[in-house]
Amino acid sequence: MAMTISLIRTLLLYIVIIVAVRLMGKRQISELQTSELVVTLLISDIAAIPMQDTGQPLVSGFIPIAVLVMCEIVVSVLMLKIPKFRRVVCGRPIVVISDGKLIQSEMKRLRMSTEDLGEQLRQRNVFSLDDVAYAIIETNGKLSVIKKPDKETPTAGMMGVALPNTGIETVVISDGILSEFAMKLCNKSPEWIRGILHAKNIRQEDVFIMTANTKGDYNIIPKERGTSL
Amino acid sequence: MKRLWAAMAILVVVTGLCWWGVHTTIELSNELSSTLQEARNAAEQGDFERAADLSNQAEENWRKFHKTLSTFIQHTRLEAIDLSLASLSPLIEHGAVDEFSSECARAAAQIASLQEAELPILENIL
Repeated sequence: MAMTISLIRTLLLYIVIIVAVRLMGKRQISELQTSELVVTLLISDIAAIPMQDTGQPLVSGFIPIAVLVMCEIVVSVLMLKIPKFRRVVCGRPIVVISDGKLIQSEMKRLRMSTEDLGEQLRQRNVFSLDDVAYAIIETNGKLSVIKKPDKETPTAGMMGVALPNTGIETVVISDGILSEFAMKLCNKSPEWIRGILHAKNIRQEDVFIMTANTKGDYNIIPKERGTSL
Repeated sequence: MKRLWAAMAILVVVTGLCWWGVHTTIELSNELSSTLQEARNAAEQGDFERAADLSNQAEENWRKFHKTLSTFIQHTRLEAIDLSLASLSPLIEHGAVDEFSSECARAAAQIASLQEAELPILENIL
């Protein structure tokens, strides 16, 4: 009986967590501020308690999660409206390299070692300190790098090369199913897609993935035998 | 803005639930404590029939509230009170007045402790 209770509780708490995460808003875990990451981890820990211990009332999980979500929403709205409040909660971005010079006092304040800095630079495809004009530690702990102009990767605009504008590319068919949202994004109609499939002699149900862009370029990958999402 | 309204709604619902929980616990514990005290007095005065009726009434009231209480109180705490109240009727039926009296006192103390644990006072918060 305890196993059945655990099963039902886990399903209920899963739904609650999904609702909580949706209410808190869409962010990838790598983009979360420190306080948001702490709240996310707390919610998962709190949810685990009534999941595992059927002697604990379910409400002992629901109420803390609800309160954390409420606090998170209120704090995020306050951070949006009051810049000073945001600075108190999240701090400020800190410049660790300015005009090519390492600011050792800021690194000391961040308790950041040269190895930490080197690792973060390499993850940004920067392999020499001489290439960096500015390096900033953002409030979420990530490093932003501005390279020196002569070390920047040249863009098409810098070289005077006019590249065609292909617009946005979207997945218009996924596992045989047409996506209305994706079609609207790339400005294509179902008739256009069906016309292409007809010309290629492929049925919609046999398409694994079809991408299309605003310009009209497309790519079709048919299903292999036995593959389905 | 929608999320802010959702946050306010959560606050209202959670506050309402908490208030209801505290109110239910206080109501039940006061009712049960007075019933148990009456039962104890009746037993000490030799009115065993009344003591038995009152202890049955206490047990019945407890069972009625048990389902509600188990939605927000740890089950182990409620089980301790279950056992105390269940032992009252057999004790008074066998004329064990002393044990009945002490069991009544024990049940009353457990119920008082339950009520105290639910109050949002500094000792509980810290």
